[in-house]
Amino acid sequence: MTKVRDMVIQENDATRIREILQRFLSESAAIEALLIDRSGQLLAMDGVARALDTVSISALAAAAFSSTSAMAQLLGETEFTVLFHEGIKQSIHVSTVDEEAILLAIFDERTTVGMVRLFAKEAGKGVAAVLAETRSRPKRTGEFATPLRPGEVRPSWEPRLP
Amino acid sequence: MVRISFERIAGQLPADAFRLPLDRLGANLLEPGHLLVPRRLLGPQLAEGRARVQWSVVAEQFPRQAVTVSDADIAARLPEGALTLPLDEVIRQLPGDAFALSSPIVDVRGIEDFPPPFQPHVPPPSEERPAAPVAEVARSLTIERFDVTRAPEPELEEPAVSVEPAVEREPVLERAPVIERTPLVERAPSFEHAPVVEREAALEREPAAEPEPEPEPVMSDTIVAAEREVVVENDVEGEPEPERVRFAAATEREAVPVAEQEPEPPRVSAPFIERRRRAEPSRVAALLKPILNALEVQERRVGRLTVLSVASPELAADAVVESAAMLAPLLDDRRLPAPASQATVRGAQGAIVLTPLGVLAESAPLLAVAVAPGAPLAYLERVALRAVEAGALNGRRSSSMNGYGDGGDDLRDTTVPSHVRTLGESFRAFGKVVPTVLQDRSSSLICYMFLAPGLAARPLAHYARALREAMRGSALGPLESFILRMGEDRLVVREVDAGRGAAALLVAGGGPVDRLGLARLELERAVTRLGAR
Amino acid sequence: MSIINHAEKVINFKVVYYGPGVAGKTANLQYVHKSLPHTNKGNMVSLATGDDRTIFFDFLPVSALAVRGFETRFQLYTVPGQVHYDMTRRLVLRGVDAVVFVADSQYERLPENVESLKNLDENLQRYQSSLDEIPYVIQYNKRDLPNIAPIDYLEYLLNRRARRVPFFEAVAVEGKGVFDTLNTVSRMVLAGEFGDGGKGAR
Repeated sequence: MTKVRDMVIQENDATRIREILQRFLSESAAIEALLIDRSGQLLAMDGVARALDTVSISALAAAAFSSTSAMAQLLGETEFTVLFHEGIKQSIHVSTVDEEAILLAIFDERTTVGMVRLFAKEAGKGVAAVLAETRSRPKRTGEFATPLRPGEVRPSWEPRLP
Repeated sequence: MVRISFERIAGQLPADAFRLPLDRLGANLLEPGHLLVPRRLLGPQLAEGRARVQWSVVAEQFPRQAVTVSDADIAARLPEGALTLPLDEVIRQLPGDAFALSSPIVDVRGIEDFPPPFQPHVPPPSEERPAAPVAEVARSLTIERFDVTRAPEPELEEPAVSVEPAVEREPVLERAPVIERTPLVERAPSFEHAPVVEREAALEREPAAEPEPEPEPVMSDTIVAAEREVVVENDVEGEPEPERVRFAAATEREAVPVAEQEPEPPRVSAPFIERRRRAEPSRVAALLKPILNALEVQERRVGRLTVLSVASPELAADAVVESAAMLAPLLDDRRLPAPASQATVRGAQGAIVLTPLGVLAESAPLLAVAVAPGAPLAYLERVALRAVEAGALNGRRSSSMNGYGDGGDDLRDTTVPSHVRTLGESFRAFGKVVPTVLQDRSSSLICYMFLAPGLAARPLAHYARALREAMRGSALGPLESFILRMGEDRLVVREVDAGRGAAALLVAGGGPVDRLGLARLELERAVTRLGAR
Repeated sequence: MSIINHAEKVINFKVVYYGPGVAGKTANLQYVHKSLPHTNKGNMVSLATGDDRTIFFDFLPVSALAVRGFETRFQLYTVPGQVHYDMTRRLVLRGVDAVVFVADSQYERLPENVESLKNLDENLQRYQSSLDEIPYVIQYNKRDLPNIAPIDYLEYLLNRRARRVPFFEAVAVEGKGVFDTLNTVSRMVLAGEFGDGGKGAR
């Protein structure tokens, strides 16, 4: 396993990724797409599904994917590149983006797993290219490199309206 | 030599290898009652958390005539040929500095720049806490920590720790009390201080309340100073923070499909905003004029919220603005599946239709139209929505809001009684709903929930309870009904009079409702049925 | 690995609670979950057997401080402690930013503590990291039980690497020491990410 590097997502990375996810959703007719880092953290998402606990879903999806990967290795495969589970109303499709990330698609009867798979592959490549760029940049692009000044540390939950 | 009490290891010996019973065997050892073990043999093992000794090492201490089999035989019957020694006895006999470590604790310099992030929430001292261990931390709050409540802030402390890490090793780890971290009541439009509600001309200052600094070294002063600094900044510059003046649909970034995404509006200077603001009421006024008789659209600021209010003669303008400001946070609450595009609130003394003209957190104004109790609202609601072009406020949330807000233990899940289940099954207009019943542990408030599948009941029950509390002190009077629209979805909260002073809330929906008339009938029936019990 | 998202203004960190079986890793997360206000936490996910032994992991996202306008989120995980779950532990460790090593203070469990710490180091090395590099703290749990080793012995056993780390005494099921531990390890992560002398300075 290679060293897992810190990741920095700039605004334009996020925009490009979102564009790719949106295109994926409109072409595949899936209802939600989550880009998830293999350590369980959510990197980006798009879609119309309501009220999802995406934080938990990301942790679980990454865990599920990595455990089947580990199983694959025990079987002599490099990795199972796709995970697909069918539910009554909704199904999920998880596919590799690159060594660090996976793409989770949630879809329902409006589309088929074949469609999702087809476009997920393409979306995966697109996202992988963006992620590769984020990694090739030097990590410190200025924001965090300087010593902290007073007032820069605050509670993260300030009430939205005073 | 280390002396081990024989009785602590006797159980490991094969009893049939000796002629004497074990207790007498012990008395006949080289050193009666004890086994002697060379300390040097134990050293390396202690580093692994073990202390074992080979039988061969201690065999001679046993009275030879009492041993019936060969040493090799006995060794074969012990795991790895060894006796496991009680570590506590071994350790007790080592010199005090046997385990002294020479390297210091790793330098954690730099962490004092950060206050301890996480504080356990402790209920106010007046509440009773069971003596039992924390498995039952009864946070029996009736009032949630919520922006608009006026409950005094409980003091936060960390749970008492019986032993502290040795201070000399850890210069940075003080458990000094720290400033409040959770949403602060002081920041809400606090009506204990006079609400600073001013007319357009004067720009608002933040209410003077500040978090109370508690005695603590450097860090807290820094934070307090920083916060004070922020407030002062506003005063000095006399300018609101640069705001997005647009309040059109889909102001959440993620919500806008790429093709239609507007570029960020240019930051405008204060005078322009002011002028724009003044122009706004007349457009709304013009649209609403045909409906209301005495029409006066006023613009007021409460804290950072701008309220455009239309009051009827029956309801004082100030009361409308106050109620709107108090209810505003509930429109963008994280417990909701999506931010509200509109809310219609009926209290005993009046009703108000609240329509955000954009994203409230980004300083969009809030339109508040109030009417006397019983006045028709449907047309008002539609017109208000049209007036603000807010119809397409998207139901999606940014990812940072998902997954948070489960609300804690103070609402207890109870079994759903069969009449409630039947009631749930009878709903048609709301689509399929999942009946849940949650009971407040401390008050007798019961929340009957009939929510669209996939919605978490607990946060919404907390939300409904917070709403009820907020309404209790409002000019509109106690809550009667609350309808929240999130795009096509609707959430309804109704007060249920359960008789004998018991209080209950009905919370329904969360999903799309297409047959509004039927929905209303079903709700009326539900409120009656639930109240009759 | 921390994930800094400029678009969302969030930084995510991953903290893993490691240690032998039934040492109290899950109890730590449960207490944190129970005690934090809902604005500071997400849902807790526990994948466990019927008798409450972690089978895969527990997961709890918490957040309380914003630094330079970025919300700092800590995703807390526990690993299953039993020896045969090593592969699972490895999976959960992926991308870890800091570790809390929860040790069972009882004499009879000491060898397992030692073994588990070694196992942690080995698994970290598979990700080209190690206990020498990653921020971690040690929690000596179950200090309320009768047959427990003294702290100096535990330190000798578990904290005598060249680089010694902060340690805490705890009774996790009662919450004692739980927040001290979490606050220190999270601040170590923050100090490493921001400010002077952190990773950023390199």
